[in-house]
Order: sequence, then C-alpha cells, then structure tokens
Amino acid sequence: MTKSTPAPAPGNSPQNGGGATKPLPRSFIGQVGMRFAGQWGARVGLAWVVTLVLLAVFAPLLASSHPFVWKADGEVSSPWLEHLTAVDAVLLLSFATAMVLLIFRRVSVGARLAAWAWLTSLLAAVAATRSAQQLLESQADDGPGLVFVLVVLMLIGLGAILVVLPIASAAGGRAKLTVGLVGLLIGGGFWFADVSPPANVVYSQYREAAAAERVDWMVLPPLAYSPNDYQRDAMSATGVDPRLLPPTLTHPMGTDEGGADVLSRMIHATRIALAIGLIATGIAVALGILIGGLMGYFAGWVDLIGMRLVEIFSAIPVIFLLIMIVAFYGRNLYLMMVIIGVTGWVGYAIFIRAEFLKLRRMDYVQAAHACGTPLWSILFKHMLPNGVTPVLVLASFGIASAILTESTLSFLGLGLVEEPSWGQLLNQARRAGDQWGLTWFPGLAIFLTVFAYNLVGEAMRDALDPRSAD
Amino acid sequence: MLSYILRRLLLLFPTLLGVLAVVFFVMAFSPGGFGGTSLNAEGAQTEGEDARRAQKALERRYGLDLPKAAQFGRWLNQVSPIGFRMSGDLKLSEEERAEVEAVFAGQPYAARDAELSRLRLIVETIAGYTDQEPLELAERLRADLEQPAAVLDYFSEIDASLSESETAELIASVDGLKEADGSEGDLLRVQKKLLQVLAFEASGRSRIRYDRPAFKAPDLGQTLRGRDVGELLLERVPVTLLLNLLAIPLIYVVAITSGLYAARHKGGWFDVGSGAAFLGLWSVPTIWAGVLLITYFANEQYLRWFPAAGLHDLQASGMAFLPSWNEGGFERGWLLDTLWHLVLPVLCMVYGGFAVMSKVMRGAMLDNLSADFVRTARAKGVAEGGVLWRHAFRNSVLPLITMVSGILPALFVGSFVVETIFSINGLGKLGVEAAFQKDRELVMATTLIGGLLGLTSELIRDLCYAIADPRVSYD
Amino acid sequence: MPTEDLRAETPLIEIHDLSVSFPGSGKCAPRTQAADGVDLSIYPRQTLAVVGESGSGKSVSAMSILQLIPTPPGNYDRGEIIWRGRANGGNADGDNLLAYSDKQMRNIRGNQVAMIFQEPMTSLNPVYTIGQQIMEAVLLHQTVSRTEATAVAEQALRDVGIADPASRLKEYPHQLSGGMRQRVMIAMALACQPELLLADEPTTALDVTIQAQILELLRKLQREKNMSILLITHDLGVVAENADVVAVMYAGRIVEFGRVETIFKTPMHPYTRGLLRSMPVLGRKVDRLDTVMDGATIPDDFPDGFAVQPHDPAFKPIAGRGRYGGDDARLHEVLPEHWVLCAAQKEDAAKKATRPQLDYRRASEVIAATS
Repeated sequence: MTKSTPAPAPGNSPQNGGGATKPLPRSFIGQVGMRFAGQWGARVGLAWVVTLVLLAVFAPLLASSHPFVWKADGEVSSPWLEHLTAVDAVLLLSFATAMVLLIFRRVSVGARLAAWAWLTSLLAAVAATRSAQQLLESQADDGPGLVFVLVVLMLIGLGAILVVLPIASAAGGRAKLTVGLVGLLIGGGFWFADVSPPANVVYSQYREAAAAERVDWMVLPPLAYSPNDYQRDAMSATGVDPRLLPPTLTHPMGTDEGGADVLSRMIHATRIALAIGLIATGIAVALGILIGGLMGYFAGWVDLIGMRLVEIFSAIPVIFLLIMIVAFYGRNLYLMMVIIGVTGWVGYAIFIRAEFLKLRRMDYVQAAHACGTPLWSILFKHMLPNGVTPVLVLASFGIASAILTESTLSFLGLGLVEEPSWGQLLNQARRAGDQWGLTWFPGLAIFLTVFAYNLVGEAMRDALDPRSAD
Repeated sequence: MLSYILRRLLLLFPTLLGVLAVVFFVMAFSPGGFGGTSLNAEGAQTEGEDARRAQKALERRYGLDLPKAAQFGRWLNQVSPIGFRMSGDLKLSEEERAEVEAVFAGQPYAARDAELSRLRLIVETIAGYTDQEPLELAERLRADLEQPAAVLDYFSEIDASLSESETAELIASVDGLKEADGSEGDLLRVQKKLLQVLAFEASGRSRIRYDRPAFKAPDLGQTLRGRDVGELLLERVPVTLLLNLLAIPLIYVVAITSGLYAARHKGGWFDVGSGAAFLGLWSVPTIWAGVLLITYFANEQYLRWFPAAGLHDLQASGMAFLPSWNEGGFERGWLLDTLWHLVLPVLCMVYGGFAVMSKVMRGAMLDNLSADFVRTARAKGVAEGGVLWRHAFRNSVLPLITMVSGILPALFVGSFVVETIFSINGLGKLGVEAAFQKDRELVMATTLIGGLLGLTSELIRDLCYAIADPRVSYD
Repeated sequence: MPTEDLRAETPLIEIHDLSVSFPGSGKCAPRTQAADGVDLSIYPRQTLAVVGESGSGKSVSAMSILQLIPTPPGNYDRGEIIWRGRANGGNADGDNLLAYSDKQMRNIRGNQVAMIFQEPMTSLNPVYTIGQQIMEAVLLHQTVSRTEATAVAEQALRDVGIADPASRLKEYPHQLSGGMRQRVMIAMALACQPELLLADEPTTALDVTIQAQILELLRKLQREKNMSILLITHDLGVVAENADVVAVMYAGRIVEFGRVETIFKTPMHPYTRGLLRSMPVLGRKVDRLDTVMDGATIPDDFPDGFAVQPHDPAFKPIAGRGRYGGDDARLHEVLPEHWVLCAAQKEDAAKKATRPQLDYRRASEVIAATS
C-alpha cells in the first residue's frame, strides 16, 4: 500500500521535480539559472566553450615556432616575446586581469565584471591606436578602409570606457581609484612596450640554427610550429615534402597543403571562431532589440515599415549576401562580423517586437509613460528586462549559426587567406588524400563548437520553459 | 480569400524590390565596381589597351556613367515586362526603313542589296545607340562615309573606343576608298569593321528610349562572357529544383515518422536516442558532412559506391531513359544514373532539416496528445488511430507548415554549399560563381530568382496555414 | 409511493473500491493515490453530485468510468466499475468496465456514457467545424448516412437551444463564445442519447449567467432524455440546486454520501462540515470566511475522534495518522441512507460497512420524470 499524501490531481500540479525538496531561490532568474546549471547539456556545452576560450587566449603559448627563451650565438634572448602580436598581448593581459579580479571576493560581481571590461577595452583601444599609428607611418596613402576600422574600434573602446566607468564606480571610491590607476599603468606600459613583431618572420631560423649547432639551449612551446610556419626548410633539411603529411608524433594532426602544422592552425583558429560568433551575434542582438523594440512599442506604421525590412532581410540568404560582399569588397574579418550581424537581426527583432506589443499594454508601462519617463528609459529600463531572457536562447543558437557561416565561407575559399580558420582547413580536406587529419579534426572542431552552443541554447530554453520543470 | 492572395502578391513586390535594391547597391558601392576583373569575351584576363576598351564597353553596357540609382532603374526596366524600350530592342519600322533606303538609293557603293542592308543595320544600331532620328542619321552617315576623318570623329562622339591599330586600319581602308573612288572591295571592309565595332559596343544595350512604356520581353541581360542570363538560368534552375523537390518530401517523411514515433513512445529508447542523435545531427556542418561523404563513399581509397561530382555520367546523354539490358550487360539508363548521382548531395541537404523538423513534430504531437480536445475525442469513442491521426496529428501539422518557408530558403542556401562540394551545376553554384566574377547581371538574376523563390514559399506557407488552420483570418 | 417503486431498480453504474494511482514527483517518491477505494452508485434518471476541492479525485473517478486516464503514467490499481448492475442480478450485459477491451470500451464511450469537460475553450478541436465534430460521434455509434448524421447533429444543436443550427454546424469553435461552446459540447455528448452523462465541472469556466443557463439546460435535457448525470463540481450552490444525491470526496476517498438534503442539513464528517461552513451565506456579515479546514484541522491528522451526530459509540470515525481516515476506515451506513467514512469499533457496526446505494430523486424531478 502506498502512502497517500493529499493527492493532487494529475496533470495540474506544476511541482518542481527534484527541486521540491531543496529550497529554490526566489527570483525567476535564479530558478532558471539553477535549472540551467542542472542540465548535463549545459555543463558539457559550457565546458567546451571554456576550453575554446582557454585555447584562444593561450594559443601562442601552446603552439609557436618561436622559442620562449634560447641561447644562440652566446646570447640569451626571447624570440617568443619579440614576436608577440598586439592581439596576443591584449588577450593574455585581459585574461590575467580577469584572473586577478576573481580574487577580490568582497567586491560585487557586477563591479568586477565592469572593471574587467573597462581594462580590456582600454587595452584594446591602446592596441588599436598603436596599430593605427604604425599603419599610418608605414603606408600613409594606402588602406583608408583599415584605418577606418581601427578608428571605429577605438571609438568603441572609448565608448565602453565611458559607459562602464560609472558602473565600476559602484565598487566604491578607493576601488575605483585603484582600478583606474592599475588600468592606466597597464595601458601605458602596453603603449611603450614594443608589441609590433617584425613584418617578415623566418620561422625556419630556429630549426636551422639548431641544425647548425649554434644554439646552446632553447625552451620551445609544447607544439613547436606556428600556424603560418610552412616548413620551407623541411625539403632541404630532411628531404621530406612537408605538405599533407598524415598525423605523426611531431604533427599530431598532420600538415596541410602549405606544409603548416594542422594542430597549430586549429588552435589559433579558435580565435576567429569565437570572435565571429560573439561579435556578430552581439551586433545582431543589439540591432534586433533596437529595431524590434521600436516596432513593438510604436506599432502602427513604424511596425509596417519594420516588417517590410524584416521580410527583405529574411528573403536574402545571408550566406549569399556574404559571398557577394566578400567578392566585391575583399576579405575582411571585421566586415564579415558586421555583415553576419547586420543580416542576422531579423529573428531577434521579430521576437522582441511580439514581446513589446504585449508589454506596451501592461499597466506598469502605461504608468511609466504617465510619469513622464523618457522613451529611452521606458523601452530599455522598463520593458526590455521583461522580454529579453528568451533572446539569450536565440543568441546561443545565433552564435552557432554565425560560426557555421564563417566556416562555410572559408570553406568556399572566401575566408581570410593567411589567418588560420577551421573552414579553410576543411576545404583542403577535399584534396587531402592520405591526410585523414584534415578530414576529421577541423570538421570535428566546427561540429563540437556548434553542438556546444546548441546544447547551451537547448538547456537555456528548457530552463526557461515552465513545462519542462517536471 | 482571393483578395487576401492579391494583397499578399502586391506586398510581395516592394519586398522583392527591396531585396534587389540591397543586393544592387551593395555591388554598386563596392570599390571595384562591376566586373572589376575585366574579362574579355573569351573569359581571359585582358591588359593594356584591350582592358581599357573592355572596361569602357562594360561601363557603357551597364550605364555606369549614370547615377547609381539610375543604374538600378535601368536594370529594373530591363527586367520588367512593361517598360521603356532599350536600344537593343530597337527595330526600325517599315516606314523608317523605307526612308533610310531612300537616302542611300542611287549611291554608287550602295548598288548591291547586300550593301544596302548592311548600311541599314548600321543606321539601326547607331540610331538605337544615340537616340537620333534614323533619317538624320542615315544622311549623316552617307555624308560621313565620303569623308573618312569624319567617320572617326563620329566614333569619338559616340564614345566608341577603338584601339590604335584599329584606328589606323580604319583610316587606311577609308582612305583607300577615297583613292580608288568606287572600288567596292575596300568599302566592304570598312563597313565590316564598322559593323564589328558597333556590334561589340552595342551588345551592351545602351540607353533607354523614353517612348511610351510598352510590353516587351523581360530581359535578364548577358553575362560578362556574353551568355544570355535567362538561358543560363533555365539550364540551372531545374537542377536546384530537382535537388529541393527530392529533399523536401524526404525531410517531411522522415521528420513526421520519427517525430510521431518518438511522441507515441515518449521516454522510450527511440525517443531518447533520436532526441540526442538529432541534436547532434543538427550541429553537423554541411561542409563536413559533404567532405566525409565524398571521402568515404565516393573515393577509390575507401568505398567507391557513389560518384563524387556532377549530376550525370559523361555517357549519360547517350543512355536510354530507363534501365535496360543490352549487349554490354546492364545499363542503368539516364534516370537511374541521375538518381545515383543525387544520393550523396540529397543526403547532405536533408539531415539537418529532418533533425529540426522531427523535434518540432515530436513537441507538437506531445502537446496535442495531452490537449483537451484529444480527451474529448476519446470520450466520444474515437478509436486510437482516429485520435492520433485525425485529431492530434492534424493539429501538429500546423507548426510544420510554418517551417516550410524557413526550410525552402535554407535549402536554397544549403544548395550553394552542396552544389559547390559536389560540383553540381545548379542555381546555388551559379550564384557563387557570379559573385566571384563580379558579374552584375548574373548576381542580380540569381537574387531575383532566389528572392522570388523565398517570397513565394512564404506566400504558399501563409496560404497553406490559412487553409489548414481555420482560426487564421484572411483579413 | 413512487420512491418505493423506483427502489427496485438496479443502479445504472456502480463503482466499487476504485483505486487509481499516478507516479509521484521525483524518482523514488511513492505513487500518488488519486482515487483510493472510491465507492459510488448512480441510479437511472438520478443526478449524483460529487463535491470536493481540486485534486480530491473527482475527475479521476469520472474519467475512470470511461477509462480516459492515460496508462501509463496512470494505473488502475483495484476496483470494479459495474455497468448496469451485475451484482444485483440485473441486465445480462452488465459487466465490469475496467475489464472491457478497448473496442468494447469505445462502444461505451460517447454512446452509452458521454462526458463533457470543464474547459469548453480547449475541449473542441480547433481545426474541425462544429458539425464535423458532432457528426464524428454520431457516425461512430450509429449506422447512419452522412445526411442523416447531419440531421442528428442539427437536432442536437437545436436541443441545446442554439438558434439557426444548420449554419452553426459549419462554424469553427473559435467563432463561438464560451457558453455556446459548452452548449456544443453538451450537444455532442447527447447526440447519441447516452444513458449517463459525466459532467466534469461543466460550468466552472463560464460566467454566472451562462452557468445558470447551462445547468437549466442540463436539467431540461435530463428530463427529456431520461438520463443520469454524474455532476462533478466544487460549487455547493450548484449541488444544492441540481443534485439528488451527494458524494463528498476528499483525498481520493468518498467521505460522505447521502441525500442532498441530509448532507446539507446534517453533515457528519468534519470535512463536509468544513466545506459547508466555508460557503458564504448571503446577508450574513462575517469578518473572515471560514476555510474548509477551519471546520476540521489539517487532513493528515484529524483529531482521533470527531462527533458523529447523533453520538454513537459504535463508530470511531477517524483512526490513525498518515493516511487520512486510516487504513480500515470504510464507508458505513451510519444512519439509514447516510454513509460516512469511519472505522467500525464493534462487530455488528462493521456490518454497516455497505456500498452506498441510494435510489432517490428529488420530488420535483421524480414527478417530472414519471409524468
């Protein structure tokens, strides 16, 4: 005989399954967060994304032809440090700041996040201005497009500083001062440090020096091949054609068509994959929220025009537009991000529009309106937080599809030429022959990353869906 | 209902116009412009004087000297079935023809009919080219032909670019004409040259003639290599349609069956297994799937079960339609050959689709199986089969209908990739090639077809939905 | 007396010791006993009201009659549902519905026993017209042509008071108001002239004026068609007006069973009393309405005894903790025609643990039915 609790009728008991015994956090977000973290899909997905982030940050530490330190011709030097690019430096320093900030437990999460964002954008802005300066010095007339991009980046950086600093001030006067000083110190040091690697890198010099016994000792990264090290010396040194070698111990994933190490290229390619996913989706979400919000709030003819815009952009296949833009404007990573973002806002806009159409009739919105709250504040302070959570789900799928798009473009031969990318490696797989490393690893990397973001998205959707609670 | 369709059709045009405008201006504002990689008629890269000439011809062909908005208007006019006539469409009327003939009548070099008709052609061409009255033009040309220097001036006036060698040749031959005074052989050569030059220049449809707008054949223009775009599309579109028409029913059949089965046996091995498998399958990039399929199923090294590229064997055109046995043993025939070539590409196109759709189907089925109206149906005594199909399934189809429009353009995009991987000459591959070559007419035509496909599928989706769901009103 | 004559009749349906359980929430949780030994009987032309709060097992009991509970997750643990009284040697085709095959069951559903549900908004299939849905039931159970079925459907709509039934047949559910939809549900249920109508809170989702209309309609149709109604509700006003016999349910068990007047005038079980006290009375001003449990205490531990009126030491109404009412609590006919859930303390008292059978109709109904 079973123990009979006062029997709830079946079907209409929205009781949380496992959570019934432990006390749930009160807030909706908190509950959603707990349900999200409780799912294996979310854990696996997030674990993979974190792995990718680590790979992206530490790529030069993991795979580089340059020895960390070596003693050649009686001199001790660090070619690795000399060849560190501005991007490498920004990423590493930013990561280091994040780690340091993790220690300050007493400061609120928001303040730490703000401080980190501020420091990173400061670093990025410094790096951007520095690159712009060098670019202007080297080629004064050529490349207004690149300078434009850099100026925009600088402006974004400055904007971020202006926006973020007031939030960081929540941490208190002394903390603010400390953060500001540390930031200026790092930034200034960064400016004066020479983070401009020589333009022409001869990767084979280290192997040649070693072969000529000019080197006393050297400390090499775990994988001693840079992504663009095509082993030009291999033919003369060992008599082996370095191109399309199947996986071996020295090259765990083999080499590609040009003779570069596939694993090294794969590690460095995580940067493009992550950057394109986050930035493109960021642009798309921002645009979508803005346009969808305006459509939903004003309704009427704004909505009508907006819907035509939505139709237009959903009728153009993004990848076709991208192919065209790459063909007509040249290969440019930033442009690619912007385009994926600019064409991808439709989904978010439709969602936010529907949500805002509902919300604008709510009493509290009417009340805010009646109080003379400015439109900006009504839209983004009062309405947005109530309709935005499910957008995160869409954004997670959006990141996955942006990564897919980039790899497809690279696969079609429209990606960046020198920079390594998974799609470009996969493209070579068609001609790989015995090099099965090319057939499997880049594809697997794309698949796992897309899968991870999809898992995270699914988990978020399930966590947000009250029906899935049991 | 009818007014609903009409209204939707009317709304379709501004959207299509918007799509075309976006694509057009993206191209128009690009730093290189159209046909930046100047190709000559043979498709080879040209240099020097030839390149300049070709570039000039391109400019005139596309009206690149016009403001960008006017260029777009010009293209729209060219494509639209109603519009202003363009020079290429110009044909002299019978009266005009007679007038022109009258001008040339009695001229010594126009004694022969063939010569006369050639001259007439010149007049027609130039008349269309410069918006001049044919009669004036004929008189002027007759006068000019007696003064070779004036002919050259004339060419410079209409901005026909001749290479230096051609200019010399032309001068020489026209000079020869004067000296010989009536020697027809040289005159013939001059006129031939004239015709060649003019025909080349005019092939790029120049200005629009602003008569009254009239019905005309819509013209998608010519590719940079001089092929008719319409013809090319007629060749390519059926291939893409074939791929999609095979893929869509396959997606639906698999998605519906597996979704239904998973929903009926919720929590069973199939439900759990297919749920995980489909989420994974959904994330497999098409490019990787394509590469894997080609590497392992169409490769001498592993399994050579399927062909790696193309839509037909080389000998396919010689095959009978149906499979047959003859002296050479079994011959698979055209149909089977095509299907054999289609297995891998279609597989590549469908797996993502049915992963998504089957998830949707399962969710909808589960929702509906626990819906109140299903309980009502059971209470009425409807058998389990009727409950499943007539009540739950009928309602679960609705979200699938909504997804058709999502899937059609997606398949169109998917076919870009699949067609490129499997070297199938379809619309998608054509679009990629067009973009690579910066071929404006081709890009615009692909966009037009693609956009039409997408928008019509949306329209069909809405109509299907309106038919399937009585709650949707037509207003 | 007419009542005496009708007593000879056998119950139309008799539910005995019906137990239905569902899996509990959580992996190792015990199964939830939604119906726990329910005993009921309904006589022809009788209206039995089952009262109780949400989750007391009212709907589960009704749905068990038609076996509409999905198994799994649900499970019929014990009991029998006897259709047309086998036990009393009545009709030959009387049998245990729970043992019926799916095919036999389908012949019962919609044909001999029909059901209407609480939510008229969602209980109709949105993609079929009213006509199609009514005709589906008719075509299933009667060998008629489509035209005849249309006529039946039209008549059914006319019976429930829908004007212009012919054109209504072509309309879709979303084109009708809530009250209209409930009428359509009733028409659909009655199209095949069932002997028993299970009405699962038929008026809960409707506003008050429509409620009255629907209940009036049900009464009228019951008189016309000589059917029995199992009326599930938690609205005591509805019970007072419509029921002949009342069964009060709590936690999957029937706690009190008797004539409607008896239950309202001399409720015995503390839960029933709580229920009655919680009903606001028009014109009486109170600070705060009593809740159900103000009359008793929390369900798991009623005080060891409660007063059965009149005091009778033979019964100890409640025993034990944990399981409400205790494992050996049974429905006892404490007074003639008045059953209360309690535990017998003496042996001759235990003999009074009988199945509740109460062939009673209120005077007005009886007169209407026999005239």
